[in-house]
Amino acid sequence: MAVEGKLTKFLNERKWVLPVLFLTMCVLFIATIVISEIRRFENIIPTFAFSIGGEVCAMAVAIMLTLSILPAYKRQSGFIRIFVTMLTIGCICCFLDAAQMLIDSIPELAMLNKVICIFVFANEIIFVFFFWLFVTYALEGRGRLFFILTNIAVIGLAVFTILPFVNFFYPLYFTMSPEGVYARNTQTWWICRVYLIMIAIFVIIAIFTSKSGLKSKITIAVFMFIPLAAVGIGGYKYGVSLLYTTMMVSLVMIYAFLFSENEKTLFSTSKELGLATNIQRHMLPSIFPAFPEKKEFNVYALMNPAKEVGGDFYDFFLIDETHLCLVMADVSDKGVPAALFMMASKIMVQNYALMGYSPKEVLTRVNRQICSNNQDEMFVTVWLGVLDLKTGIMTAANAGHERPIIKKPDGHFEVLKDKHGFVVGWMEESVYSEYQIQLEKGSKLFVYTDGVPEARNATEQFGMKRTVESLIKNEDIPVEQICENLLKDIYSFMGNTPQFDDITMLCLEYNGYEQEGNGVQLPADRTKIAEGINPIIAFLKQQGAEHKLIYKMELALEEILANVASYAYREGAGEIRIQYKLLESPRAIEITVIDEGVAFNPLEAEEPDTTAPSELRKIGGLGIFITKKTMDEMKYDRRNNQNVLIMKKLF
Amino acid sequence: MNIKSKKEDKKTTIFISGRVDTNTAPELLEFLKGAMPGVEELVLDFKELEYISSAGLRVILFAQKTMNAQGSMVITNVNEDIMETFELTNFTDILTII
Repeated sequence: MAVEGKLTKFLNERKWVLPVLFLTMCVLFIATIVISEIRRFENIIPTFAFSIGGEVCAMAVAIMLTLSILPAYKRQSGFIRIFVTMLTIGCICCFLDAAQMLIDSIPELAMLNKVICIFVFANEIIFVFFFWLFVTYALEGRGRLFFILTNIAVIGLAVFTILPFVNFFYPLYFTMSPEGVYARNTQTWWICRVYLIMIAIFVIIAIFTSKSGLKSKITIAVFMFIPLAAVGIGGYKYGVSLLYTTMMVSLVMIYAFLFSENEKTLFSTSKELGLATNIQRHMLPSIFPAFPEKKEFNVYALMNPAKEVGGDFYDFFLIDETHLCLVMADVSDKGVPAALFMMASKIMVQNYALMGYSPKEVLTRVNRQICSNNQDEMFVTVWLGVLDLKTGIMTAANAGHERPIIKKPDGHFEVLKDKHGFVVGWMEESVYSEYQIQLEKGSKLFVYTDGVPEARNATEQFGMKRTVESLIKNEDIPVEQICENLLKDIYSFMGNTPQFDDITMLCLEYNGYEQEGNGVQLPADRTKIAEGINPIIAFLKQQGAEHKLIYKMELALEEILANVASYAYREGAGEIRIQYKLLESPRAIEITVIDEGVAFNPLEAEEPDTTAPSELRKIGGLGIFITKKTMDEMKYDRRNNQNVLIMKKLF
Repeated sequence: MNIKSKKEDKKTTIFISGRVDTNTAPELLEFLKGAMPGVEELVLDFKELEYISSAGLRVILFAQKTMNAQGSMVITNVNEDIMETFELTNFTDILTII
């Protein structure tokens, strides 16, 4: 329906269309009244006066109706624009018809009369054509039949619009006497009705073949035949020109019956669509920081749908205290069906993941479940990863989704060439495999949908190269800004090109695992050092540490604390603060001893000669020596006038 | 920490139980100072000893030095933890542990 499409597009894209149409109607209305005033109704055939009155009325109604449609105009452009165009053409018909009757029988205006008559006939054809367009809209006519009918209607439009102009040379429809009196050519004037009857038949065919609601059909059928009936009545009695008036009245009635109904459904659909969008948005976790109490990772994600409801989704949730699940997925379609499919997929993935299944098992099960009842032939690509927050090991499975991009702490973002399985929802027998990536403290992971690399400007795609470049450019800033900056880069690349696909991305930063630190404070007094040791021993026992480790820790602590208590505060009393926490990967205990005494680095203290015979052995320095020997790692730092000694012992 | 001693002629056996740490080592030192004069064979029985820190090692070293001059000293029933500390500090080289 190229013609219809172009026409509707023209009407939709031009902002001035409505005001021009409306003004035209007003001008025609005023013009008719002015001409009537000039001409006066003296010596006029009574039926003419009757018809003119009806036409003026119809024009007034058309103007009022247009005014009332104004608010709806923007919302439902195509349908209503055609309708208003019809009203305008109807007004032109009324005006020309009225004008013709008013100047009839005036010899000086015979030529003008002839021209007007020709235009009346031509205009009528245009009106009928628009009526056909309107019917295809109202009945939601699509498919081959409507295409053919519309094409015939277009050809008919061309032929029958030109035909009246033949009257300049040959009285095909009417004759014009030198006195300026119009008379039908009773032999051939029926040709002007051929198009009307043809379209009437088309409308009947359309009504019978369309799957549209019964109410629309009945409305169109009934109100199409009112003007036809008017033609039937008026056509045989010259002078009673009811066609245009009844046409306009029909339109008003169509509006009342059809549009009010359509607007009701339109309103509720758009409301429901908005609701669907809202539900979908709320299903994606969108409060950041997402887990402020979790220091092990930072995560940020965003989705910018192309249409109101998209098929992309991301997700992240904690399976338990130490396992984070990340999901990035893309449903094969857009719009409401894709959104519903997306919601179902999201829930299934989450459910299986929360049940503790590994990524490949989750995908295998979700696939089987979707395939068992997937009549819409939709599918979804999924990247699913579960991060062990303690070890930093990410177990992931990929069902036909874009490759993740990973940054090691000392490297740059790089595309991970991971193993792909088949998309979810296509083949029931699909089996997925999984792989593991070790994330270290400071590692970053970026997952996304194809909307990112496939974002287009007029000439080319954004591409993986630009994606990775943008990530590398921002790789040392927080995850939130990495995503937002990439999005900015994509949009500035796209320029004015409309967005075709949802743009969805997720970025994770792994910070390593740290047990919450504990602390204890004690006076720097040799007799009180048990106060510092005992809580840590209790903590280690609680953590299931071996006896050997506990013994060594106790020994080291005693030596260090005794040392601090004896020497740090040479003048007066002081405090010792101890912080301790568990470390993971590898599992260890880390103890920090802090005092504000004189600067002393025990690691630089002179070591006792442990090879000397007993007579030569000195008694000093033995404690620190034992500590150094039993601990796996020791660090000393003098900061803020404090001695800070960090000891680490592996489990 | 608990200390018991058994004296047989020139041989004295001292049973040390519990913990010898920064706070209890001085007590052990005082006990040994009182117990060692005239002893030619000193036995330190560590059967009940659970823990010893460098403060205790210093006392042991003092005892060893003293006994080197007047006789001999052996340490018996050393548990694994304490043995490890002795090895760590090479006390095994200067002590007689049986």
